[in-house]
Amino acid sequence: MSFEVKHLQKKFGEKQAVEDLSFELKSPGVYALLGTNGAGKSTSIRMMLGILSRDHGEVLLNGENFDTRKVNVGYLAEERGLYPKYPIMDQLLYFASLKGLSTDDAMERIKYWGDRLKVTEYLFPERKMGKRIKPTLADQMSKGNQQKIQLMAALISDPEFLILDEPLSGLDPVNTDLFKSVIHEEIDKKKYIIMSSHQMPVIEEFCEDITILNRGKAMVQGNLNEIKKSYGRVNLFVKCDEDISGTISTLGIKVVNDTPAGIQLRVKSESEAQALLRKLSDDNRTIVRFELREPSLHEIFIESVGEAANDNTQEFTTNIAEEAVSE
Amino acid sequence: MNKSDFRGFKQVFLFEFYSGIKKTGFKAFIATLCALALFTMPVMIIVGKIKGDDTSSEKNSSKSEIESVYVYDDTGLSIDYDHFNETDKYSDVSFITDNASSYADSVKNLEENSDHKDLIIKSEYDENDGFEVTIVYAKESGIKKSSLENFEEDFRTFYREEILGIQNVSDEEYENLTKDIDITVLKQAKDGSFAEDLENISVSDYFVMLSGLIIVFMFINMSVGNIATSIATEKSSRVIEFLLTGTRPLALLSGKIVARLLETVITSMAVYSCYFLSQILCIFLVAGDVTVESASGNLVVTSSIWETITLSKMVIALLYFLAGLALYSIVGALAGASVSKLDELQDAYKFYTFLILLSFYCDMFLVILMLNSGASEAFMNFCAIFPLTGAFLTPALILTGKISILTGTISLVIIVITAAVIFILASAIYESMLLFQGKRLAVKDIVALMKKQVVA
Repeated sequence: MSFEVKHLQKKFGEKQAVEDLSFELKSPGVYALLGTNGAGKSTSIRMMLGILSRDHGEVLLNGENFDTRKVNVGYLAEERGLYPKYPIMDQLLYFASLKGLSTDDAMERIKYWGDRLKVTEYLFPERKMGKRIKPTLADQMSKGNQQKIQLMAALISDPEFLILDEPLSGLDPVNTDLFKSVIHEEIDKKKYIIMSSHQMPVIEEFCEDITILNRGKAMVQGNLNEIKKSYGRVNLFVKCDEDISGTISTLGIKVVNDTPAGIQLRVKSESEAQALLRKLSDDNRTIVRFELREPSLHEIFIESVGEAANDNTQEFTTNIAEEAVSE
Repeated sequence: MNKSDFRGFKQVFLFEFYSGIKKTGFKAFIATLCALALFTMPVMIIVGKIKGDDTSSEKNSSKSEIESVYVYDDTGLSIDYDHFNETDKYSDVSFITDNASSYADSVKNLEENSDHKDLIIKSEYDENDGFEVTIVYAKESGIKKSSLENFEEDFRTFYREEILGIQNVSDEEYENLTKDIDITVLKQAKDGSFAEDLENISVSDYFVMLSGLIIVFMFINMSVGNIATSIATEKSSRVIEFLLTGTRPLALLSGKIVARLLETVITSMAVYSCYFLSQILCIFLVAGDVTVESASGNLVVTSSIWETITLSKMVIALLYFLAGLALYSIVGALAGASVSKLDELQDAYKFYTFLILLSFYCDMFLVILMLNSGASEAFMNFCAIFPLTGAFLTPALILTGKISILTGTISLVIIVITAAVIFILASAIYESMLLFQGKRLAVKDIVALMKKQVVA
């Protein structure tokens, strides 16, 4: 199975929300869409799912038009949503029926995911002292538990294709670990997953391929390891017992950060790092740490998005309705 | 629009329907209507029966409780009040005709001597107004209202007979003179045929039509409010985005509308069943009891209206009612889709409320005109055929025969076409509106959106 996004474009009025986005998922795994708020991640996802019409481009699954009505897709939207005044069990059964599940199958899955995500007490409340059981309504649950119910809704049909838009945002550390373990399980089941996030450690933990979006444009794209390699090993961490600032300035190496834990330097090449190491050795400095490594995803992201990110934090709240109205 | 656009329709419909009928508001609404349909008539009959029992017991009593009657007759006729004493019931009543004191003084005395069960009668004759008889009694006299009503009825009969006797008119002649003269005006229609002029309605028809108008208004308002709230809730809670991965906006829209229609059909059937039971109950209450004759008048009147209803009329009226409900539901759905937050819905509802009230008042105006002076045929046809006004009144006009089956069928075709066109237009922009998150869309924005989506 291969999933292809080709030249996706979307304009809201004069704003180019997504500009010529293309990528491909040839094998099961996680593909990441990164970007600041308003970079076009959610708009791209909505276009892929067919929720939002696209101005140009196509989304293909095995060479055919990707249609969520034909493919079993699980979607955890960035804007979490449940009917606040309806029982959660009714809602889950409804969502399951929309995915074509029978009531029996849906109940079985609800039981499994209820146990797995530790929300059984809300789904199957126990009778207390012979009193009538009142079903739990969505607005009677905490935000974290509501998020679990939404993850259940996304996974209830055991989808072959998963789209997770900011899956871990707003979760406490315990629930973050729980969600991570569920995502790892889905990866192990060889699912195709597209994940959007601006939490770089999460992306590094799960994803092999990424696209960094800025103002709807793909700034960096490809395999994460290869991207890192392409940047080269230019990050140097040095810690000595003595003050080495004089030596660094003599060699003209750029200081990125100076903290009690050490100095972070940006070298032009590995030979520059070797030159520094030689100099420190010659000067009989006590070297506690000397580490040359590739840039982190966070650093790549900051470098790619750069200063533009500061102007880019405003959410695109308009959509095609506003676009039409503005015209 | 193709078949796959309706994927998920069944699921949406079932969810909306079951969650709709589980709501407390719906249960209270249906219970109230059923209770009204079931108990109104029997209660009226029982109240009438109690009143009737009271009156009949007085009527059947051997002697009237009235002691003396002071008569001031300014008609100039020689009425012989001894004839009134001839009946056993009034044999003990004294008629005092040669009063020394004036009428005003007697009335004053009546107030002062209120411990006697006395009456004062003043009779006058006016060339224009005819005979005017005034009966005065003291509040503290203790005369029962039923006694007084019986006396009034008997005195009227006595006075009429006395006048006829003086004029030498026999009973037979009087009967002939007072028989109804029924005039039917036949009006030539455009096709040359003559038909009865039905522009005016009776008071009973007026109440039936007004009740129908209010009930349909309640149904439409409740159904549309539910749809708008449901859509606004899905938008404000952001659940819509998830739903759209499993279904399509058209399926959502049509599923909600059909669920509301089914709720309405169930409510109507429940209410009609209760009304039917109430009629059976009334028959048992009325059976063999002459005293409730007057109280059962309403039952007879209402039944006579039902008698004019045929199956074809019922079918057309029901279809029209459902089409009207669907039409307004689509407008309500657009109102719900135009907001991003639930608390903005009231604001978005203003235009819809204006529209529904304007149409409702237009229909009410027609019904009032029909009762008073007779509405023009053109206005009646406009209200029946124009879908927004027709949604409230046309079913009642069809059922009561105020418009022909042909006009009813034409109206039905027009409203179905209008609802279909509005549905297609709405579906063109509904998707955009569903995902819209921002300031509330005004009507002009929706129209602009509609133009763009439909023309483009």
